[in-house]
Amino acid sequence: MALKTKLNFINQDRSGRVITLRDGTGKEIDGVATGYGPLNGQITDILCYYFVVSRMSYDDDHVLKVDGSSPRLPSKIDIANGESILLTTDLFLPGEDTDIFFDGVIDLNMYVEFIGLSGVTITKGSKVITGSDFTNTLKGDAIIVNGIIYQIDKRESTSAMLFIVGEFEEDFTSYNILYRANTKALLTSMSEKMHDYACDQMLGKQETQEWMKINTAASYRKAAKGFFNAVPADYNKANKLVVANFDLLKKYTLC
Amino acid sequence: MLTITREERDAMVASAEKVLMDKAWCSFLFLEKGGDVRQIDLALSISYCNLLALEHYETGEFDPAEYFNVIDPDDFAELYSSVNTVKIIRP
Repeated sequence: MALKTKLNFINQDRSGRVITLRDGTGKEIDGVATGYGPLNGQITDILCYYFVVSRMSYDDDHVLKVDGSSPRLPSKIDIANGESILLTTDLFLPGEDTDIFFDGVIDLNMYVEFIGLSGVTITKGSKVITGSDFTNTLKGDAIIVNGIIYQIDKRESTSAMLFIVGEFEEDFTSYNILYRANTKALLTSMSEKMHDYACDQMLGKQETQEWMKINTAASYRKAAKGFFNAVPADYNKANKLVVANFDLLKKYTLC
Repeated sequence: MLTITREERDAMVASAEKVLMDKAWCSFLFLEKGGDVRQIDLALSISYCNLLALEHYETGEFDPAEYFNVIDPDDFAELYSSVNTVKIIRP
């Protein structure tokens, strides 16, 4: 059975600057058949982690490489063993004031990198690699070539031909294999904080129009959770409602 | 006070959530087109209140006035027993 990585979203802090994640893949030794271990890939063989965050509201992807060199982050082995990892906005965009962890729906990808193949011919503008046995590569979800991630086109690929989605951006002679875990998260912690502050400010003023905004915002958050957890989920509506809720509460942002 | 089974309660929660989602989305579209938040249908608040009540039904911790002061607890009790979700379960 092949490795199947899993990513668990734990929480968002109330300032919108930190999210906590966990590699939930598990280990063969603990009875997880798709976990890390001698059959699927040892934890000690992990070369790197990549965390990719994108918001529903816009298309930008924000990528963080975790190779064990940062004193602010757990080691690769600790992450693979399930230790929580706190991702702060400044790790993705140092020195910038960013809203990537503000309330809304975010898409989270975790890529786990293992050794791939060398001595292959990767040609700029092409979408295929040939001339090797790609059986092991096809157990993964993507490949990384000189720092650029390419998704494997599994419908087209065979053990003798490896197709990617899109085209290679440069000539190269090696790649590594990535296993991808995806999850989405509905972030509302900032709004909950603003709601609490707003309620404190509005004590004794229940009949005011401001209450209408606060209550409508609360209704939107609740409805957004419904859209987010529905089967199938409607992430677009969930995101729009949370963003609208945030706008209704924004006068309480400075709390 | 209603006496319902766990399955009935779960079905009512799911139904109440769907009502809230529909009403919230309608009011969102209303605001997006330039509507005034003061003119949002009170049904949104009621459906939200109803869902919270159902979710807290088993513990009895829910006080509607704690969430929405626009609804009198007595009015809420009446709404609670007449809301469509209950009618679906108990025709």
